[in-house]
Amino acid sequence: MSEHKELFTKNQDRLMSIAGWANNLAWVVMIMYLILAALTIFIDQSNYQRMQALAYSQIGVDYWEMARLDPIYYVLDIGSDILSRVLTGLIYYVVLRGISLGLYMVIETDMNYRENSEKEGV
Amino acid sequence: MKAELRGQIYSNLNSKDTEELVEIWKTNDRVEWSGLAFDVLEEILKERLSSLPEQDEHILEKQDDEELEEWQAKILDSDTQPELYDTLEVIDTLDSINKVAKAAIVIYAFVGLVSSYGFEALVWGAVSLNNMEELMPILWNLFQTFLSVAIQIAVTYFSLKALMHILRILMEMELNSRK
Repeated sequence: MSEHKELFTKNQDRLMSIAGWANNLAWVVMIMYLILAALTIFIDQSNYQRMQALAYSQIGVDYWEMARLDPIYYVLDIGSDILSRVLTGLIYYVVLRGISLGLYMVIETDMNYRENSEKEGV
Repeated sequence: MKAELRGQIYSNLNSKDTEELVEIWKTNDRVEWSGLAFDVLEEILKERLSSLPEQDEHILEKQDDEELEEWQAKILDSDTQPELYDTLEVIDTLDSINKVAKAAIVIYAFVGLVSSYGFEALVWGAVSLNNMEELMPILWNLFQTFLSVAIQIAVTYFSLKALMHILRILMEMELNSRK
């Protein structure tokens, strides 16, 4: 590894830094979306109250009454919101992890070729 | 170009042990090895052995899982391992990408249906199926939902699959760059 570090070029250093950021960002984004998914009911409730306040909705019932009026639809609606947020978080997570690993592989390949060239004396 | 490729395959296969070459010859895996590779292999084995060993039936296609396992084994069995990344981590990530791509199809279809007022109206019987004036906007809404969900699924699924293949190719390139 120490031999490799000496071989790092400026571009490789930049790629290493981006790969590290992508890896850390993957976890941050994933946790953020999981928190958003856990807070779905509260977000939905506050959106409903905002709509009521702006008089977009003519229904004079509060959020929980509305949920009790049509429980199956309410569960489906909230369930789909939760699933959608979890899925978005997972997609960002795997894409960022993939980018990070891909960049590490590119650097490793580049370094292997450099080492081989040096050994062959090209 | 073909001669150049043949030369590359020849030098690549010629560097392997006879035992390993016989194993490749016997397994007769036409998915992993091309026809040209088998021609070159035959030539090398004729040079090294008095007679060619018998081959198994052609393997012409494989299940995705089997292919992945073989590919994983090839990379994991390598004598030298990379220093900047963990091979097992890449294999796990590829598996996760595959699972997320499949889950995206189901979840996007479910979310699309639930958020469509056309579906809601049909399921809750808010429209009469005999009344075309009521039914047409619902069908139009369902068609729009279907289109948007299909596009969303296609974009997500193919992007994730592309990422998987790019990672696999990068890993193989990295493996081939080791000496």
